[in-house]
Amino acid sequence: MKILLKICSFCLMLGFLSCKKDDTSPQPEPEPVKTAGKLKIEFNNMVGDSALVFNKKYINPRGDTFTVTKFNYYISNISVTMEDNSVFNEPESFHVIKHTSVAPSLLLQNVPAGAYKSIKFTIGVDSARNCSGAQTGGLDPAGAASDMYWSWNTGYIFLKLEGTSPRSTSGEFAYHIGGYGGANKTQRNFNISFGAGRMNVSTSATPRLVLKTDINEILGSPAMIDFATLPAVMNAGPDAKMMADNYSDMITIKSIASQ
Amino acid sequence: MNYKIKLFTFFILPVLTCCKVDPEITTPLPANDLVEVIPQGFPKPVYTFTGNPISENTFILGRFLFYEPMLSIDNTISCASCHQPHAAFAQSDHKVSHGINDAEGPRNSPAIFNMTWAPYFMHDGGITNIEQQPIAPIQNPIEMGENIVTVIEKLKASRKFRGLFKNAYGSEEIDSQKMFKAMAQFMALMYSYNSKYDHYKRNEKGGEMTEAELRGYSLFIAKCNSCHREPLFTDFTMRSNGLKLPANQAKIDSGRAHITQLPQDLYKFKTPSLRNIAVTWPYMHNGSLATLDECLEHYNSGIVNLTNLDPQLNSNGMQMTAQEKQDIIAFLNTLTDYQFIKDKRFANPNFN
Repeated sequence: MKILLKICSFCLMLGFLSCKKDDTSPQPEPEPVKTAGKLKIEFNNMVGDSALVFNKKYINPRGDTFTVTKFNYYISNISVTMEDNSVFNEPESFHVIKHTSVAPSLLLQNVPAGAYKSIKFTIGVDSARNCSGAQTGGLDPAGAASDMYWSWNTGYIFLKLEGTSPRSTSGEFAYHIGGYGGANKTQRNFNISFGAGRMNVSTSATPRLVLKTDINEILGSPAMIDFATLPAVMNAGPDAKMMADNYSDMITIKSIASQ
Repeated sequence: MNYKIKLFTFFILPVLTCCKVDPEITTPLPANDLVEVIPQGFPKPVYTFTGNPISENTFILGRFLFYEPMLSIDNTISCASCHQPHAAFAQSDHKVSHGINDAEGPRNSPAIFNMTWAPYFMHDGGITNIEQQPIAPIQNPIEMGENIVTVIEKLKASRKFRGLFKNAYGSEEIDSQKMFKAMAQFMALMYSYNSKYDHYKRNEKGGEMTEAELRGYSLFIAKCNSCHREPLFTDFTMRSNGLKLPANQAKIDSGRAHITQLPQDLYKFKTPSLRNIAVTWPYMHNGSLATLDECLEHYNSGIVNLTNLDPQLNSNGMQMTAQEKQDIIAFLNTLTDYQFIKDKRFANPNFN
């Protein structure tokens, strides 16, 4: 019996040892474009002309006092257009912009060198990626999307704005905006020109695009939001669509800088 | 000789196969014949395993995940707690299922089979892809009450699951996409198409119907098939069947309207498949009807003229005789697929 046990443990040990720890090679990186650089996009979240700071008091377009405790939104399908109209589309372009104490930003990689004159992106996630099965990367509900996914009603939350206001009966408000298809879809496309300015991407320079995101647009333009009558939106539907129409122009260009 | 075979089986074989199977998983698992199935007469499936290629090890991972209580916040509830093999992966004898801390949800556990044809999931159709289904009960506060972020952390900390993920995907790296694809693969391969009715339709042995069953079949075609359409026994539409609303206002379930926010969807629920109906009791979205006889009596005398009542129904009822009801039930009993509910490939892998 003892001998058997010995043989057994020896064989088991052999078994353990023969298992390679890691036999998978990493996925090959896409071939980098020759003379490619990077482009930084920074989001300055504002309430009107004031920089957004959580828990600080602001006045909304209706004239009510409020504070913000959470502000997240999805920026997706970013593309930038060069002087000669050639376009760079960021692959797997899904980013959750989360407001913190520092201005949130993202970095476009592998951008062909050149002078860029405009940028396009979407607030939200395109319809197909909402319902085409388990996702990863910027759309992983256990990762980047952990606070931006409706598990009971398939789809991503495109924008979250939460805060407090004495105007609301409960003292709080929460807007979770989503809805990826049909009449009440809430993706909104942006096409922002740099005017006479150009963003010069090169191997040595990473230009910085600074965008301004104004919460007062969500709360008052064109539809005036009243925390008393609409303290929460938690579903896709007509209210979410109204808020999306409001945020359809909440992002504007602030500046372009060479670094 | 016998001794040598034993020695080989117990000591040598584990060594040879060790790189494929985690040492904690000691029992061999039946996972054979894993292929996409489109039975004769069935429509084109919606889910086609695109980006989720069928493999034995992915299926086995999905199977372990389906039976894993770690998916709930207090490690007590697995998918199989409310989706039991003997009940065609519904839960028998529970009007509504019990989640963590014995919390009662508002709805009856639906059965799981023939999922590749389903355009959406849940009684209200809120989930639109089978790979995106498991996160719903996991994060529902009264079902499994867990956060998927924590589930992934727990799985990463488990030697058993690191091994299972490695077997399935060639790497111990665990993420939600791999987890959900494996679970989807396990569930999507639950095909049910070998009931007595199926044998009858295919003129096979075991398909000999009695006169009562055949009478029931004719009645079924006349009275039920417009919604519970052959061969899936559902057309997947959202309808209100006039089920009496609960007296307790707080328990009224708005159904499809919960998802769409549209008044025209109030009290509508997905037409369930009637395959395996004999074993999925109790019935209706809230489990309020205990027997098939009660269900037929609902369509006879229980239909309430609710907002959005399906136009094919009215409060006068279907006016079936006792004999007719009995015959329909005889037919419905031919829809039980014992081969499916006893299929060991779908049983709990921890008690093999």
